[in-house]
Amino acid sequence: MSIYLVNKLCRQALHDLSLREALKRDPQAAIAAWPFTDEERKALLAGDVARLYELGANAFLLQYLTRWQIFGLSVPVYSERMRKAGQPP
Amino acid sequence: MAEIVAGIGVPHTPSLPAQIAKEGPASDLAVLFREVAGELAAARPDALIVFADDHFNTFFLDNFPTFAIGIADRTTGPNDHTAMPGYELAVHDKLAAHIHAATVEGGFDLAFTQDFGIDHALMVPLHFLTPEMKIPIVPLWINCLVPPLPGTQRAHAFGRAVRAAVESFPHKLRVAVLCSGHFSLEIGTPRIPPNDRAGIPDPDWVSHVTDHLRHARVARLIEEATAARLAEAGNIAGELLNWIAMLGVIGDHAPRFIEAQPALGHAFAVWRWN
Repeated sequence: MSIYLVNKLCRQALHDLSLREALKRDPQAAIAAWPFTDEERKALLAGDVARLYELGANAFLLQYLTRWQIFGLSVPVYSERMRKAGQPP
Repeated sequence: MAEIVAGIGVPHTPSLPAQIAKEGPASDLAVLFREVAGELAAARPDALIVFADDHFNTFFLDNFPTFAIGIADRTTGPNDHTAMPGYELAVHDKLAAHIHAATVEGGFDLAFTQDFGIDHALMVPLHFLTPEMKIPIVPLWINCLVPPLPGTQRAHAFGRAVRAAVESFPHKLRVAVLCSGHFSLEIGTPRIPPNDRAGIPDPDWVSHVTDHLRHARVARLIEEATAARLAEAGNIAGELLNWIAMLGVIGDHAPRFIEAQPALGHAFAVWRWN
């Protein structure tokens, strides 16, 4: 159930300002110490919210990332990608 | 000896404080909140029970309760960076402790917290309805967001258990019940509209629910609002459970006032019966 960490990252981006700033500055470095799976890390860094949703990430938490355009996720980009997602597990 | 004197239902959208401040006191939303606030004040409550869903702020997925109660003498909010003033307010710890004990005794094994902040689901309604924050609250959280949600039957029974608890509270107290949340709302999923992160997928359901509420058809509403039906109305539409729990507390009354805004997915309502 490692997708939990993706949810935790999204939540922490809201509550932990230093993490949020680090994610804005250098996303790859900011999550380097987080033990994501390779697939999760790749999807996060690519802003592939559709894949993260399909892996079971919580949509309410994922869309937080658009507030600060973390991983390149502006609202239009998030919407366009998410609307193509398949069903979660 | 405590008695239930009013029920209130409103939205809690986190953008509302900033939006209403910008639109001014004559805007539809400002007028609706003012009308509800006037009714709540006229009910002269000594305490306010609040049914709300926590949006991963007070609790998180490491420990996420289906039903929970806050028992402390003070709390603060919002704890989720909502654009609105911050408040410190009183919690009615004696009533909360009594509700906790009585509902557990009655078969609802509530989680509880004695050290908590509260998010926009409580603070946005309180900001508009009781801005002086002089009425002590009892926060009751229901999981409306992370399936599996409790069923509507269970949420209603929870409300009835809270009512029984209030009625056995051994002090004279006028208690109002506040609930909030959308009837239809989709956030962040593949069903959102283009170029947006949220939408209202089912305005007809909002009108339908409102119609049931207007005519006190609570049993019909409970029967129709299955997990599948709520999911169709949106991944946040489970917030109807807050309203159904509130109805369990107040009983099957017709509201004195109800107005839906289907395009916004929500409604404003007041129940008073004497």
